Amino acid sequence: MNDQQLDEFFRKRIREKEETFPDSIGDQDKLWQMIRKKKTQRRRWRYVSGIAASICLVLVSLMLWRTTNQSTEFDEDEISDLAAISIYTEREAMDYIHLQCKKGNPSCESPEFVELESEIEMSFTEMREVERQIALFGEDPVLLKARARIEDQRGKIIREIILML
Amino acid sequence: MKLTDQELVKLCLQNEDAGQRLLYDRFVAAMARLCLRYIADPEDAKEVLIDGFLRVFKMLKKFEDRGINSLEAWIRKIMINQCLMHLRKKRRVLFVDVSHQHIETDLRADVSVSAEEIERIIEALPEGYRTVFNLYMDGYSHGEISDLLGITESASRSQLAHARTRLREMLDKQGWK
Repeated sequence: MNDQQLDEFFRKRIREKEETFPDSIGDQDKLWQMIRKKKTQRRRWRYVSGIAASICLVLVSLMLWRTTNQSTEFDEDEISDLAAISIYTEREAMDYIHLQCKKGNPSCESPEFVELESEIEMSFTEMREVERQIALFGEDPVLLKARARIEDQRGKIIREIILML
Repeated sequence: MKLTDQELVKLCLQNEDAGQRLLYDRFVAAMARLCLRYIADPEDAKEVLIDGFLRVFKMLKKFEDRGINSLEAWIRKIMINQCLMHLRKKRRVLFVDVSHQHIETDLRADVSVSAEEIERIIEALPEGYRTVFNLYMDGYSHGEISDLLGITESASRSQLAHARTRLREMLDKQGWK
């Protein structure tokens, strides 16, 4: 018998055997009941794990939401702190400049200093005007932008003067 | 009246329990025999058969009808994969050359070889030989067998050759020529 004949011989008998349910596996109906039971168990497990996953998701979302909120509050506090520091530093810087000039610092007489000082004066005038308009028209984005630009410019000028002194 | 494969699948998807029971009744004998061919232990084979049917039911909506017997071929493939997964999990597929070993069978020499005894002859093969032989009997090429079992094609050919030699020896013992 060659290989092909042998294979055919086995294939044929394997197929013949497949027509009858093997006794060693047990009862066909009992096996179906076992399949149904396992199917129900799996479904229940999927349902329970689905609920557990949803609860986890809600908890994680809640935690994230709280963390984000806390960090936002912290950021706002930090910003107001920084603003206070900035205002305080600006005033201090101006006091320092005036003190230096009173003490007779030669740089106070230089044309650059005079020019920068007049720029600061201008910035205060501009700022007063912008504040007046904000009080009149409310916190318009264009006005707020203008206020931020003036503050930024003034800060740069003050830094330049201090470096000069 | 016997439902066609397409009608049966449709029924399974519409009326889950009744349809699945019909599908189970139609294929359970063949699939139980198939599992027993790959997994000698009846208890393990039963577990694999149960998981195999659950997988079939789960995947049924993905089934594509490709003509006559395509449903059976599709279920067979799922069952074979399930059997191979079980063998891999138990690390029972050992591809060793055991051609020098003597294999005992309890087949009687004075009777003609029936389909039932053929099953026992296959069962008596070493695991590696048996798995390759079964896959080959189920229509897989050596290339596919090498992919499924993670062995080379030449190893698959050699395992099959050893399996055939061993089967011939056992058939000779039965007086079958």
